[in-house]
Amino acid sequence: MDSPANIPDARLVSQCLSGQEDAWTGFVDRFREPVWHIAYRFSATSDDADELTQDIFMRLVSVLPRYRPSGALGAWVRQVATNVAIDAYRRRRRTPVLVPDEDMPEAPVPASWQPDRIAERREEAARVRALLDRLPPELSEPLILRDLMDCDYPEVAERLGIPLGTVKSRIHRGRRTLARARRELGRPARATGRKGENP
Amino acid sequence: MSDHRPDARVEDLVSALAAGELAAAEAERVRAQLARDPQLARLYGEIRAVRRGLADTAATAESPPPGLRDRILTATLPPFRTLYQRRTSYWPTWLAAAAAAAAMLFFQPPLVRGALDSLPRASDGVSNLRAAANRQADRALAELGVLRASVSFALEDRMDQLGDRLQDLERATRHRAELSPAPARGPDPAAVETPQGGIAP
Repeated sequence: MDSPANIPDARLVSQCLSGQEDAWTGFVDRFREPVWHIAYRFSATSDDADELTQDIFMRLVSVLPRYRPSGALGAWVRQVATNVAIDAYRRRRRTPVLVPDEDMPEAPVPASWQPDRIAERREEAARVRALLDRLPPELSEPLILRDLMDCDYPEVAERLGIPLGTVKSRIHRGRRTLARARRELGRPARATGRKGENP
Repeated sequence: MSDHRPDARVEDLVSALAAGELAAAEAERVRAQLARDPQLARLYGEIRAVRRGLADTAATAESPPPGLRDRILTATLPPFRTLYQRRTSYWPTWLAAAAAAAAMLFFQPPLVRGALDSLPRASDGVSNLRAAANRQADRALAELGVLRASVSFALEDRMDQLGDRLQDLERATRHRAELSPAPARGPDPAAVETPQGGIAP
């Protein structure tokens, strides 16, 4: 017998719609990780990503009948997740939350990072992330989709409902603004002198 | 050296180059320009550093935290049951939906109170309060979505029931017609059956 882990997408959804709880559990298992990654990219903290992931699955429960088997389920789930995440991000940007440092647990780092540079890279990543959250949402949203989620330009345009040309110019402007903000914060522009990063 | 500011179009190309988005020939042209213009070269390096910072932000979160699966299932199984296990439910769906609405109204205030109690008393509590309220609003919207879908399913159920009832009535009518005694048919010299099966006077 097929377990929910390896049955085809359309059948998994069909079993969910007929009320089989193990199918829904299989759905959650199949998409928990990609959905959490989307949530994490739009969140200020790991806890926020956790909450947002639950909200995304709440939405998925209610919109599941709208899935059409002609499309890939994974792509559909990611689209729903991104839409929920963008909405949440916009609300969060309207009401900034002050997060105490102790509420921000350190995330695990990739094995490829050199041990003596972990602290530096963490610090730099946190700095860039904080600057990103200070950008106006019309610049930060396309930048998150493009540079954090690897969406291509047409996909970003579709997700945000803005023209392709506008997307490109906002992304470039966002990168430039981040680069200059980072410079103005006093971060030495060491990157220009690093091997392999000069043109 | 003057601190000139390159025009935005050139900077866009630098941004695209830093992100590896240019075709080889165009990338070569922009690289040549960078070699001539230290300001542009500096911007190029800074944009690359920013992109690496963003990539590191994403890379530091390789897997969801433990316990997330249970939290998702705890949050989603009740609405899942409400929505998709309705046909085996003892209660009619509309009654379950009404009960869910009542339960939501009943339990929301304690939830909000719980969120309020957990907030610190510091002056930045206002921001946290707003965020908590937003979270509650998100949850409420999600639950309303579930409720709306429940009502929609309930209407579908009702339509199904009405359709079934109509078919039952039609069947019963046909059955009654078949069972009712036919009028006595003696040979009627005045009526002659036509070839089409009609009765001609």
